[in-house]
Amino acid sequence: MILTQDSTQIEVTIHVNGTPHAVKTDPCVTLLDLLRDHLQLTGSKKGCDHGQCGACTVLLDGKRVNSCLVLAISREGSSVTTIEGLGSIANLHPLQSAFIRHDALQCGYCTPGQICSAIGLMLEGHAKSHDEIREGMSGNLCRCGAYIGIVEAIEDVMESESSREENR
Amino acid sequence: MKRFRYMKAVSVREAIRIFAAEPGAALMAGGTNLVDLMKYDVSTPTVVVDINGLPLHDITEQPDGGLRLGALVSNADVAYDPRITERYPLLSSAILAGASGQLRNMAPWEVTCCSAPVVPISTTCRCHVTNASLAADAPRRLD
Repeated sequence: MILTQDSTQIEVTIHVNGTPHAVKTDPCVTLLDLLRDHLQLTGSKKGCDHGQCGACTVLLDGKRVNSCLVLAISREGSSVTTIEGLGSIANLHPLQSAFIRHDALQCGYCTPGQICSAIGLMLEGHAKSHDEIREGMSGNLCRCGAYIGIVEAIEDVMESESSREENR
Repeated sequence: MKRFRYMKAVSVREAIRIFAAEPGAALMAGGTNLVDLMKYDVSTPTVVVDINGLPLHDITEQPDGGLRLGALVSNADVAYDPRITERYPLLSSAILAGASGQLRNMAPWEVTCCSAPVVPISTTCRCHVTNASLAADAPRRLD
């Protein structure tokens, strides 16, 4: 069986940061545009809009992806985590705190994507060393050149989490 | 991006039938290539056939000792599968040498290894993987 839709608006339900959103959208709308223009979640940024800069990175069903290359309509029922779902001003996510501590940003435009990507990297569990973190984060560009701080912040959180695991 | 109709295929047979019947159709797997090309109007499909619901997401052992990789297994899932890293390290290394973590999560390995975006040849891909080489026949029109 094939589900067929024409080019008119189609309703898609996506769970964003734990809240289901039923949105009527055109098939050509990307997940990034849906988040920013339909749900007003503008934390995820549109940098290159071609999957090269990583500013649009979100966690889609637990995995980091470039939301600018995902057709929203294709993700019916999926769960998305954006920077807005990670922490609050009063209760920052450990990576958000680490980015501040390590001065891992200047203009901050790439930061939401960097942090979502770093969470994805940590969930994947393959990057252990400094060089592996650098390689694993190579899909996120920072024009301000804050890479040293970014890698230090991720290492910091990884070390804290592994010591917490050891103490359990 | 030009407007298009969207279809979600739920069987290989139906996906092939629609693809064959619609001259302007394009198959969408990870979307990392196709959506990008559509934004530049390099690719202007009238119908996008989403094949992510097809049962092609598994890596299975073969009687001859080889592995069969479903065409929709992601680059990341192939590259980090212990059977691949132990028995076909060259394939794992080759995948990890390209793209980014995000793209490797999205794009199927088949596209990376067999892709020729502007040279549609076939709707299916069969790859024979050995320790030393990877020979692909019948590349693509998976995005």
